[in-house]
Amino acid sequence: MTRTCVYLWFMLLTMTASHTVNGQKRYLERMGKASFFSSAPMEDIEAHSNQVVAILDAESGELVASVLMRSFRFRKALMQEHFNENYVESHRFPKAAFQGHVVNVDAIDFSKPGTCTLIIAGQLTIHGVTRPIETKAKTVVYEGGLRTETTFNVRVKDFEIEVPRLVVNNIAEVVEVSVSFDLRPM
Amino acid sequence: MQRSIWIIVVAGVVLMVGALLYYNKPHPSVVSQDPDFRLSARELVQAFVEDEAQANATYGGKLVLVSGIVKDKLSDENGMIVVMDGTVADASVSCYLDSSQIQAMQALQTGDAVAIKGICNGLMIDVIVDHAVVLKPESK
Repeated sequence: MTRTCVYLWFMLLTMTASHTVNGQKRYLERMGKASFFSSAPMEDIEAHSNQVVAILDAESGELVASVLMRSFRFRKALMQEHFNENYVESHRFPKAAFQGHVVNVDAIDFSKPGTCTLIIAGQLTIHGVTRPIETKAKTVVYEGGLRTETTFNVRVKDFEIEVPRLVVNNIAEVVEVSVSFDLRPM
Repeated sequence: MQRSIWIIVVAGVVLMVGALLYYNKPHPSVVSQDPDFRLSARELVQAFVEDEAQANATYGGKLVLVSGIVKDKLSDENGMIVVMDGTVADASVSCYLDSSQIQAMQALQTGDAVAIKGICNGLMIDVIVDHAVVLKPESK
C-alpha cells in the first residue's frame, strides 16, 4: 500500500476515533471535484474527476487530498487511454496526492458562516514526483460544512511527464488545475 | 495510370476515415461488456490491502463484477456512491454509479445483496469501482 494511502487511512482512523472527543473539528469529502485544462495550438483538452478524497483538520489546519488518476474522465476515449498509459502511467503511479496545511488556519472561524480565503501550502505528488505548491482557496463556511475551491497551474515537465515530440502542439506546457471540495464534518 | 490514381485516392480516404473513427472512438460500454473479473467485495478489498501494486496491475482499469451487501448509500450533486460491505482493514468497495443509475440507486436499501459492474480504478480509502451499473445479484 502506498504511503499516501496509509496516511489517508491513518488520518481517517485517528480523526474518526477522536471525533466524539473534539466534536466537529474534522471534515471529510469523498466526492471532491478536480479538473485540468490544457490549451495548446492544436487542441484544448480537459478532464474531470468527482472522486477526490480530502480530509481537513480544522484545529491544526492539516489538509490531505488524493485522487486516482484513472478517475479522470475525458471527452474522447483515446485521450483518456493516452493520458493513463503514456503520460501519467496510472499503472505505475495510480494516485495524485496533496499533503499540506492551511497556513492561515488561526484566522479562520469554521463555526461561523461566511466567506474567507484559505492559504494552502504543501507538497503535490503527481507521476511519483513531489513538488511544493501554494495556492489560495475561496471558501464559504455554512451550517454543517464548508465549500472551498482553488485553481493553480502545473508545469507538466516539473512532474517528469514526457510528451512525445509528435504531439507537443497538442498538450500545453502548463496545465490549469481546478479543485473544489464540499467538506462535511466527520 | 488513371486507375493507380483512383486506388491512391480511395486508399487515402479509407485511411482518413479509419483515423477519424479511431480518434473519435467511444468510451467502452460498461453495460454491454462482459466483466474481466467476477469476485466478492471482500475478495477485491483483500487483494488491494495485501498488495496494492499487484492488485493495481491485475484489476486496475479492468471491468469487474463485484458482489456483496449494500453497507451505505451516498449521493449529492457530484454523484452517487454505493458502499459495499467487504470490510478488510477498514476498507470497503465504493461504487461510483453511472448517472443512468438514479432509479437503481433509489431502489437499493442498506443490507440488500447486490452485484455491481464497473471499472476498477484502484484504492483510495476504499477500493473504487467507477462508471458502475447495478445488476441483480442473480446475474453473477
